[in-house]
Amino acid sequence: MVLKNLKMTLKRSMSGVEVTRLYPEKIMDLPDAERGVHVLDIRKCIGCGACARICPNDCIELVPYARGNPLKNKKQQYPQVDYGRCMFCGLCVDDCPASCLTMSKVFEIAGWNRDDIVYSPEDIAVGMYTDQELAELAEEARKAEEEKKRKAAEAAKAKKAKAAKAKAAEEGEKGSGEKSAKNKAE
Amino acid sequence: MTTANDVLSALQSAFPGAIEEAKVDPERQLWATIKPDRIVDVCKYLRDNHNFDHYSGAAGVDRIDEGLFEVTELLASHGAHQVVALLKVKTPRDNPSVKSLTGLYWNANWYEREIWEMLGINFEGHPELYPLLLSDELMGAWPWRKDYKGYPDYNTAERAIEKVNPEGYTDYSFTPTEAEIKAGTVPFERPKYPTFREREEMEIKGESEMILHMGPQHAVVPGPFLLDILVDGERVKKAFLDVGYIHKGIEKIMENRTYTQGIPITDRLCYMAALTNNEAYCGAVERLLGIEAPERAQYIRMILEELSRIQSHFLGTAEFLTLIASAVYSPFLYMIIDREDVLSCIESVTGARINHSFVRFGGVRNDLPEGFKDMTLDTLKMIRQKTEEYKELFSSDSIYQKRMEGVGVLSPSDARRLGVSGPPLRASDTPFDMRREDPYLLYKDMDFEVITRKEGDSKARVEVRLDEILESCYIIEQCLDQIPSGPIMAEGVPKRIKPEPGEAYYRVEDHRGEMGFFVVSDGSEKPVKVKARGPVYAYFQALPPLLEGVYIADVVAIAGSMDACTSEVDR
Amino acid sequence: MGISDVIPLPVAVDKELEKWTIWGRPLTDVWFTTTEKIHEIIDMGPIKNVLNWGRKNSLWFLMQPMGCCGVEMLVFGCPHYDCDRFGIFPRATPRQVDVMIISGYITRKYLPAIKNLWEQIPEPKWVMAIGECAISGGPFYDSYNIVNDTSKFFPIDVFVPGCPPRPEKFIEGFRALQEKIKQREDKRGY
Repeated sequence: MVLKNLKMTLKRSMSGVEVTRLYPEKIMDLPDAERGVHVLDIRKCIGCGACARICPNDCIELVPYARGNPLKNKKQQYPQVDYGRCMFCGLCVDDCPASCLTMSKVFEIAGWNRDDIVYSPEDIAVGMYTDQELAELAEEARKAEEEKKRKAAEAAKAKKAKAAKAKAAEEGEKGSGEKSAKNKAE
Repeated sequence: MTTANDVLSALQSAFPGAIEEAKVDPERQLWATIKPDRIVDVCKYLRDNHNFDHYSGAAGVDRIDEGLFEVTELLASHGAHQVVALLKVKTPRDNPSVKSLTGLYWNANWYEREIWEMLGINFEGHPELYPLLLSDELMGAWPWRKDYKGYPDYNTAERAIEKVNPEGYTDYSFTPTEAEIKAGTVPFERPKYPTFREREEMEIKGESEMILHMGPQHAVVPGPFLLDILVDGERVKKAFLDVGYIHKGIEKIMENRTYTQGIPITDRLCYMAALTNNEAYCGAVERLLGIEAPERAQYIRMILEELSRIQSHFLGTAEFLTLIASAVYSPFLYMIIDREDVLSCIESVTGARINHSFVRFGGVRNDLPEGFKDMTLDTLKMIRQKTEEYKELFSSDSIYQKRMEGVGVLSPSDARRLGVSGPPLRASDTPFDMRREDPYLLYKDMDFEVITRKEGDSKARVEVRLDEILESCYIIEQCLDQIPSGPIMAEGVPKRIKPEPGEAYYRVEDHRGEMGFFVVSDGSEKPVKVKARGPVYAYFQALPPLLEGVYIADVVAIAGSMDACTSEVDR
Repeated sequence: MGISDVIPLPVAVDKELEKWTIWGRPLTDVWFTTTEKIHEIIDMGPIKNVLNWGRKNSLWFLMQPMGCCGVEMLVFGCPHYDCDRFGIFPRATPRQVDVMIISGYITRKYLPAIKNLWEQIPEPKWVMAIGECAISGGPFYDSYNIVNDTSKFFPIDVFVPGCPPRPEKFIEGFRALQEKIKQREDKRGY
């Protein structure tokens, strides 16, 4: 009967259970598995592009990023996510070989314009290098580069000397002036 | 008990020479290539002598390398046996034509229409070869053919031309893509047929008859479709259904993605049943790969799929209540409140509310978090109590009873003939449930009842759903008790999936009925064909005959009780 | 037209009133002329802020579910997220709404229908693109039947990503729209 239904309504309304989630004031507890905005560990990223290749929506693009690790390859690129396309499936996270791409619980990404929802590496990065670290690393990189250059030069010299020696052994009769000229030509 | 081998030997003796090649793989599936001129005879023989009374669908495959089209007819039985017959018919690529099965199975109509409009295969003897999903503009382009140049299409919006049609509304046409112009495939020849509007106007006979348009936009039904009813006074004389307003071409898109990339797209097939769609697709690919998920993963899948069934039935019932009358608006809100608790349980595992992308080939993505069991058991306790309340509410409310009893009655024979499955079929006294019929995962070890009702009306369909919620609770409790510890991914599944060339068909019990995936592989990273056989497609097809002769006021009560989801129909 | 044509007033008073101005425009323009002129004047002054304050706090939206986001839209109106708190109500007909939410895939076949809905909405009106499909075509961005850039057809004010967005994101999207109206940055310039 209808009275029974009224009883149910009354029971529900009198139960005192408040279900409304007061969103802007209080953010709901989300589970750890939640798939929200990406988080990129810039120190771990190797720029392999596995995330961009697996993405079914083609929303990840590898772009140059100035504040990357200078010790690494200078042409290394980092993922930029277009949230106007991302469907939060998590395939990129599963496929990341360096486990540097994860998904956070953050979901507030509404934007006024289409460009507002394209997140560059800087927007999703964590563990960014500070200016001091960057300077130190750059110095280290410069040193490493110099070291490399020096070593390369040494190796070239050694090689040259070796070759010259071999040539000398082969063509012992010829004059030294001629020899060096021939080496240069080769 | 009929087995696939019995059927095969019977076929071979009845039709010597008509069967070109045949195999049984796995034990319940019979694959056979039939000579094109004998397909109708073979199907008639199977239907009449071997109880193949369930036409499950048809898939068209474009074998461009061999210069052939293949049409695979999927036949099964409504409970007499568990054999699925997949009968292939080959037809040359130029001037393709296959015999229609509409004379034998009523519901072959839409499946064949779809293959016609997408691939351009003519069906001899089909009564109404009209477009179903595509707009008139794309008819004749045959978009699912492998040599179709209009895909991929990245800039549709830029090619739109705005115009005003004779009725005064803004309309759009689209110029062909650059690739199409370059390849010279445009302009193509459009087949001749009466448009939807012309077809329905042909049916208007007397002056007292008029057409009532419902849709394509409606406030409650998730997904646009156009339901036009031809009314004579208060009675519906005939109903016309126009679908395809959200046709996304999922099957074409999946052919152009790798197997793994296909998983998130199956979610979007029907968003209320994302997990079962994942399951059906991954099951088919697992069958191709010859792998099986570890036991723990299978339990996790079962738990989540049943939870998902609960939330889907809650939402389905809630939407139905808003459709029939605003007098029952409070239960709608109550059900959504209860559904949120179920969603929280699912979300704690999968990390998403609706589109989970959770099932992987040979396992699942995440393990159950800590405290999941207690949380779920609490939720189930609450759901049981609430569902009992709703059942009591519906059975005691005299207004509701009067509105629903005897409305939209689907007799058991009609329900089978129209090809519906899931709760509407079970409400018509047919215990047909894929979890019992063709057990997948570990459902064969589970103790549960297949809910049926005798009446077959709208009320029975809702009751079946509510009872199924209780059964699902029971299954989840058993799973939570029995779940073993162990790995959640099978070993040795490669990252880049390349199945052996072959085909697989895998069917599961969706929340709305039989969901099947038919996957064809050619040994490369991308599938040749993915065909989704959805349950709502069958409901929608059955809707116009069901609506004939009812009152206008009952139209929404009947359509709503079917728990439709347009997204899956249009794909 | 003078005031004395409508209300019986001494001609002297009428002449005096005609000298009065409001933001550089004759006062009589405001009282006795077309709504267009009134709007012109309102646009110039702080009255507009008051109007926009009213508008932004009663954004009724069109309940027009199209896909996955449609289900979340339904939940957004239900007790857990309770959009009524913000003066946001779901309405079933375009004649009663201010905001249209594009909540799913727009196909070639559906585009004229949704355009028709948009044209039926009375001014002032705003449109929000919610979900990936509405913003860029989402998972179906390369499909032959999907119109993958809706901003070509509708002046979209707020983009809310998500597939589908959580109901919280709907609230967030509406808050972004409110802010946009408050700052008078919206595309149609109310």
